[in-house]
Amino acid sequence: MTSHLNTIKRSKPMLGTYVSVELAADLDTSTLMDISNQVFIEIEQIEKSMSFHDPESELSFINSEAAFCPCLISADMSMVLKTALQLSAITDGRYDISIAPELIKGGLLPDSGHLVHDAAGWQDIHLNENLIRFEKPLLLDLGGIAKGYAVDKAYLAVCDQVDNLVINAGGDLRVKRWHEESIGIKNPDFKRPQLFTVRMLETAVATTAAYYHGDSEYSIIDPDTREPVDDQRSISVFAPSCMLADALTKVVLLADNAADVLQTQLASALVIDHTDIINPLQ
Amino acid sequence: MHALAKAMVLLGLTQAPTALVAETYLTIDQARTALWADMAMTPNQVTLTKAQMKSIARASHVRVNRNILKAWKTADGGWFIVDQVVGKHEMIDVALALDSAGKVKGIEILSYRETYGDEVKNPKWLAQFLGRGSEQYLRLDQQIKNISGATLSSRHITDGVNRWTHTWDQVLRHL
Repeated sequence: MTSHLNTIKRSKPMLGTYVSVELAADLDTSTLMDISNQVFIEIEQIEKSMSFHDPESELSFINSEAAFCPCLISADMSMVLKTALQLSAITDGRYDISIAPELIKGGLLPDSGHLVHDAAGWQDIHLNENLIRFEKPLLLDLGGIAKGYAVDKAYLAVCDQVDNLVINAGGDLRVKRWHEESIGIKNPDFKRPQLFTVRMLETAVATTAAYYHGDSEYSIIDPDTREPVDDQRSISVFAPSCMLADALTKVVLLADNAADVLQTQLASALVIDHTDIINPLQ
Repeated sequence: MHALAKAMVLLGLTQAPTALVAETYLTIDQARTALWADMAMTPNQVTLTKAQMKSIARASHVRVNRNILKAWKTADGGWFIVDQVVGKHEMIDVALALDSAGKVKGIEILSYRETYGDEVKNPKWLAQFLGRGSEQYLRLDQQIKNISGATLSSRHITDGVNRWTHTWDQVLRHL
């Protein structure tokens, strides 16, 4: 089917995980390498702008200034924050990007020394096009959405130049010819590791499993109890964009109205439970 | 996994296959071009002494498992290195470029395997993946192209970078 096409597959450590790019096109290898370079450059730019850890990032600038004065932000940042706030609104705050204080207290994110109001939440974030302002001092963490956005940004930058394109950022992936592709969903239970092969249901998919992160890595905080989520399920969301797929895995994990939310976003979810049974979210 | 099992037998591997994920990316030559373009370089395989291994481990806080470093020195005093990073469940072949000041210029993953058996602890099993053996072997297991799972952290690469920069500082810069 694509056998006459030239392909390359590359992977680099980025976004705190492994980012791989697969390209297929009727082009020579050095041209494909140039296109893959473009993918990595796009991802690097988003990583630089949205990193919580990097004190020079745009996100760090917002976290330190937006409580004091309105800040001008990039189009990328505006896009991600707009989507995050929409999801907060339709899940009644179950999806909330402003809960970093718990991650810092738990030692999962570095302490930048900024004051954070204990009762601050997503309602205190005011976004007006490219201006952002915080009503109360708070911190944003884009850990559950920026990775998907980075994949989208890189995907859109090069997808017209190639016949097929797969970008996989540690399990957040987007595929051009998704109708023809299957993916393996990894159940990362160390005692019973398994791959579930399923057809791609949309161009993008992301998977989250709360119990997988262990104590030293990224974890998901319940915005009401403010405790790490202890959930045995692995959740995969298929969506029209990787940013949505990434964010919606957390919505499925946390929100009671997840099924309705998925419908409004043209997305669907597969859930693997502790008995290793894979089911669509009902 | 069935094809992989067959391949293991063909290649004379005796252990049961338990790899969950096996992917190959660039070959060593492709990685070299990606990182150094057409920069001239000469092979300069480095054998670390016991004392050097100890001292690199002390400085980087990362274990040094192998005394041999597959390396090339570039015409402008930089390095191209092919090495392996081993985690609890993952085993990764890596190519990296260090510039003449010992700073990481770029990293390419050559192959990535995730396994849940005891292989990762077996030095003989690990050795066959470094360099030439890996691409050939891993291409046999291609039924599943794309894997989605809860994000795996790349901190073993971060550890590796620490080890390589200290290896440069203590050994390579003097060569």
